[in-house]
Formats: sequence, structure tokens, C-alpha cells
Amino acid sequence: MRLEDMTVTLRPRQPWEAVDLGCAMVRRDFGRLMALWASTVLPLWIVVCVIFRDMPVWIPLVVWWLKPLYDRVPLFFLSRAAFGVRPGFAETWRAWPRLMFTNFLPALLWRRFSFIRSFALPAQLLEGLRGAAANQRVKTLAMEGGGSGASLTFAFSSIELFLWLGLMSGTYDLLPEAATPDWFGIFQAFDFENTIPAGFLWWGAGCHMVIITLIEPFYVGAGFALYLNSRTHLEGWDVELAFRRMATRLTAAAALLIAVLFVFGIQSPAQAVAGDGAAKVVREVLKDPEFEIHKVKTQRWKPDFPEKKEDDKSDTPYLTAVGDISQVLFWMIVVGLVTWLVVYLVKNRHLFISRGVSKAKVQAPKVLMGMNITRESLPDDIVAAARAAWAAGDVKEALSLLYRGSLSWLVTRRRVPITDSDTEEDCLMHVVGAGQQVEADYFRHLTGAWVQVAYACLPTSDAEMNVLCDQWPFVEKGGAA
Amino acid sequence: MLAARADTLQSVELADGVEIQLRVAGPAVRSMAYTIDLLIRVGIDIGSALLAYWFLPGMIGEEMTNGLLLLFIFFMEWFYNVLFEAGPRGATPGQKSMGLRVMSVTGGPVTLAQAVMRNFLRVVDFMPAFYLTGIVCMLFTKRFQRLGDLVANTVVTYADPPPAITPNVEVRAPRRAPPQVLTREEQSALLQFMERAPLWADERRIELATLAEPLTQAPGMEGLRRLCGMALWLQEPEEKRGTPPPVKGAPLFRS
Repeated sequence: MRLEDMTVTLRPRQPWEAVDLGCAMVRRDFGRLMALWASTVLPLWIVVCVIFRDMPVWIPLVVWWLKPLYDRVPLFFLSRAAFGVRPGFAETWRAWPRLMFTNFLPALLWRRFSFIRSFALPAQLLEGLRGAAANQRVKTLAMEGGGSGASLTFAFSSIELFLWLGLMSGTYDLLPEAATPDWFGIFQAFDFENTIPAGFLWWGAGCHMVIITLIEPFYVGAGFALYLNSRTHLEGWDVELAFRRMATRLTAAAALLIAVLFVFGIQSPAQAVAGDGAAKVVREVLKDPEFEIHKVKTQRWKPDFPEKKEDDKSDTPYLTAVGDISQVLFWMIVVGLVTWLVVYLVKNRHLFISRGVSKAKVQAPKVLMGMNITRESLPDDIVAAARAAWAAGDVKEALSLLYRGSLSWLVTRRRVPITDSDTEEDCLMHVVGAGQQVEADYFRHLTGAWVQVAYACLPTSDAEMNVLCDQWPFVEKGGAA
Repeated sequence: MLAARADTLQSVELADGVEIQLRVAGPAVRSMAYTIDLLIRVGIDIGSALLAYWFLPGMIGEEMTNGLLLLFIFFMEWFYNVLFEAGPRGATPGQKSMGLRVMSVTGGPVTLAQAVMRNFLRVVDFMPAFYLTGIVCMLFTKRFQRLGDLVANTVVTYADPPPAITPNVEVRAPRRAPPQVLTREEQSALLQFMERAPLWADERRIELATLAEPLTQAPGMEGLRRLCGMALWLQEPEEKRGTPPPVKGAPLFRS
């Protein structure tokens, strides 16, 4: 055997990953394993079947009970295949009696119900320990991976049970009528002896053996891989093997034996500690400063006098409540005021926007109802021009001058929102809405006179014309427009 | 002679020539996860049945309740896994609790279509009963895939990163170059030794260092010191400028 031929990648793994490694190992050599299984386990089963030929109902139980014996065959193969040496038929057969009888009584009696059966088997079988030493060794290894060994047993026994049921229900329809039980009799009369034919029992036992053949090697392989993983964690087995390989390469030394490898675990320090001087060693280790127990004592200063603040609070809880409520009220009022202010400002924003902005925005109309009302189109002294037109007998021209002049003033100076589509009535309403009482009254009077002249051709009296001219309000204060 | 060593890592070559390694999970851990999911599903089914028969018959009648309940159980059976696996975690509660997740074989998350395919094919994997087909298929495929996985191109992998076993330890040893050229594997063994040595007893460290005597040319403690020095050199051939900050942990060498 050469260590270079190691066929498994060892590295510290999580437990379930180690189980998967075992499955991969078994899958790789499943054909050979089956051949070895058939040549070693099958004869045993035949013997069992012959012994229990009259009571086939017991066969599955016996086959199940003898499982620890079968486990040794896959383990023997796998532990050697891991180092590239696959034992053939001859080698296996030669080893088979020794494998079967090593520790077989404890394995079949009190260790049969161990939850870490497949995990502990490599330590018991390959390391060659016996009795208390073997138990101690298994305990040491179980520190790392023992729980996983139990989960592994649970997982694989469930898989085995359900696959057995699955195989039975899958092949049930193939049974001849003579071998199918009378289910009605079983459940109605509870008569098991006459209703279940022997053929059915034999078939069940056969299915059981098929499933064990299929699953048990994987279970053993998974346990072996867990064992390897445990040694990798605890003893750095992967590092050890790599160092051995390196030493072999550097010195071109001769090959080593597998037995040496597995037995090496005996000398591991964990084992040495468990010897005679264990207590002494423990004492020595505990002397190390690392194990010294440190205690940190923290003293907190407490004032002698009672704390005033807390007393106040505890004495007058209602006062603090009043304080809290009034604080809430205060903030509610503040928030309300701010909100109201913001809303007021937003609503009346036109009051605060400067003239320049509104000038640019509001376009004063230049032509209203077909009349040019720009200041340039009007004479400088509108009233004088109107009187002159009146004296010349042109009533319409006189009133038109007054009307255009007043509109021009109102649109440009008072910024009355008159647009070029407005009628005389609209203009009047806008002017009244602008709120200048004197101008509005005058404008109403003027509009009435103008409408009568312009549309009804009704003449205006001299007195009225005089009033209109005298009351002309559209003049800059302190000077003529 | 075997072509490759048995390993739990499965390399996948992606379209752009990059090789990634998937930590695929096998039948044992997956059947545990399935059992947990089964218990959750059955629990929800029973709970909803109790609730439904408490309230609904008075409102919508007995038969309506039966129908609604059967619909609910139908959706639980067929879409419980689909919804969880296509979700952001890529794992059902059971898979999550076992540290698993479902992935596409390319290492990406599963798509909704993949999740639907791999879960609707559970019917085939279940045949003839109790997942006989699925488990046998899982045991004998390289990436532990059942038929649904094979069709949908998915794998179940370990979700958590490998546990960090490396305690932070200050190694005080003079840096030195190995006297011989080491292979990749040997270099990695040296580094592994230095990182994991604090987990072992002193005797075990010296024992392992003695195995490497052909390299260190010194027995016992001196060999250990030289070995660590070589590992340090492999980690970083040049001395760093400035002293490294002190690290908490047990010292590798007792003074």
C-alpha cells in the first residue's frame, strides 16, 4: 500500500457532509461491494432461512438483529479501498471469519442498540482495542461527531424502513393470489394465523433483505466517513497523512501498513491523558495560568441622601401628568398656529407678491369693444377734448373720448382685470368689483350715457354732459393726467 | 488506479470556462429536511382543518367547508415546496433548518420553472411508495440528484459556508524558507497544520512535526518551531513592515 494512492479527500467537514462523503465512497465501489456482500452475507442469510423455514415471520427480525455482522464486510473493504487497495474475494474470505468473530457478542447483545453503531465500528474493529480501552476510545471520538452518528442512525433506519414498505407496496400487485393475505380477516376477525399466507411472509422477508443489501453499505460507509472526519478534527489525520506522504516522497522510504495507521490513534494524547496519571495530569493542566479563575468586583457608589428628583416624581404623580398634558397642549397649539399661518400665506400670496411680477403677468388689453384705449391714442387733456367735441356738436365723439379715457385709466393704473373679450356690462362689473366707490359710481353713470349714445343713438343732455365732465375722477392727485 | 478521489465537492464548469465547486447534499440530510417539512405541512393541514370546522360550517355549510379544506390541502401539497424554493432563500423551512438550499446546477438560484418542475416530479420520485425511486436515484447519481432534480437541472447544496475552525493565534517562530520545493498539497498541509495546531495537545503537535522530520531536519520542539516558521514563510515570504497587532488566543508555544 502506498499513501500516495489515498482515494478519499480528507478535510475538516461538517458532519452531514462527512456522511455524504461516505455515500460517495460506497457509490464508487458499489458493484464490488455487492459482489463481496453476495459472497459473504448471502450464505449467512441462507442459513437463517433454513433454520427458520417453518417460522418465516421471524426472519426479518433475525436478519435485522444480525446487521452488526454484515457491517464488517463493507467496512473491511472501504477502509482498504480508501488507500487504493481493494481487497478481492480471496482476501475477504480469508478475513471473513476473523471479522465476524471479533467482538461479535457485545456487538449482537448490548451494543446492538447503540445509536452510534456505524460510527463506533471503525474504532472497535480497525484500531484493535478491547474492553475498557475501546470504550474510552469511542467516547473520545464521539466528542466530535457522536451526535451526528446518532442522527445518521436515525436517518438511515427511517430510510430503510420506508424503502422496505415502498418496495413491498410496489411489488404487491405481482403476488399470486395464494400469497396475498385476507385483509378483511385480519382487520375484522384479528385472525393472523390463518389469514396471512406463508408466501406473503417470505416475500416480505425477501424485500427486507433487498433493501438491507441496498442501504446497509451506505450506512456503514457514512459511519466510516464520520469516523474519519472525527479523527480529522481531533487529531489532524489529514495533516498526518499529508506529512507522511511528504516524508515518503522526500526520503523515498518504504511503504507503511494500514494497520499502523489505524492503530496510531491509540497513542493520541487524548488517550494518554486517560491513563493512570490522569488525575495528576489534570491537576498540572489546571495549574496553568490559563485556567485561573478571575473575578472582577465592581463597587458602585451610592449617595447617602435620598435623590430629590425621584421622590418628587413618586410623591406627586398627578402633577407630572398635568405637566405632560399641558406640554402636549402647548405643542398642539404651536403646530396649529404654524399650520394656520402657512395656509393663510398660501391663500393670500397675491398680496405679498411684488408689483414687478404682476406687471409682467397681467397684460392690459389695448383694444376693447373695437376701441383703442392706449394712452397714446388719446389726447393729453381728455376732458377738454370732450368738451370741444361736445361744443362742435359731435356727441358720440365726446362721450367716446370720456369712456375710452376712463377705461384706459382703469386698466393701466387701477389694474382692473378687464380682458379684451369683455363687454360694457363686464367692464362695469369688474370696475365695481375693484372697490373704488367714487370711480365705480362715475363709471356706471358714464357707461349708461355711452351705451345710450352709441347703441340707441339717444342724445345726452347738456347738463348731464357737464356733470360727467366736472366729476371726471381719473386724474393723478396733484396734477393733470 | 482511480481517476479521482472521492469528495463531496462537485465541480461544475460554467459556460465561460469558470469552474465552481458545489457542496452537494446527500440523501440522509435531505430526508431529515423532508421529514421536518412533512411535519410542518401536516401540522398546518390539521390546524386549518380544526379552525375551518370551528367557524365555517355555520357560515357556508358543511359541504362548502369540505371543499375549501380539500382545495387548501391540495395547494399545500403541491405548492409548499415550489413557493419556498423559488423564493429568495431557495429553501423550505425544513431545508433551511438543516442548512440546505436548492440551486441550479450552474450555481445560480432556481427559477420558478425549475422549482415547479422538480417538485411536480415528486410524484415520480415517490413511486411506488415512500420515495423509493427518488432515494435510489439519489444514492447512485454523482450530485445526489433525484429524478426531479435531473429533469429540472437542480441540486440541493449546503447553504452555510464551511465552519471556520481557525482560532486567531500569534505564531512566534522565525520565518524560514523550506529547504526543498514542496508540492501544492504539501504546502496546503503545512498551512493547515499551523492553523489547526492550537486545537490539538502539545504532544500531538510534536508528534505531527516529527513526521515531517525529513523536511525540518530537527526532532521535537525544534522541529515544530521550524515547521511553523516554514508555514509562516509560505503564508507570506516577506516580513511585514511594522509589528502586527496582538491577537487574542492561546499561544502556540508555552514559554
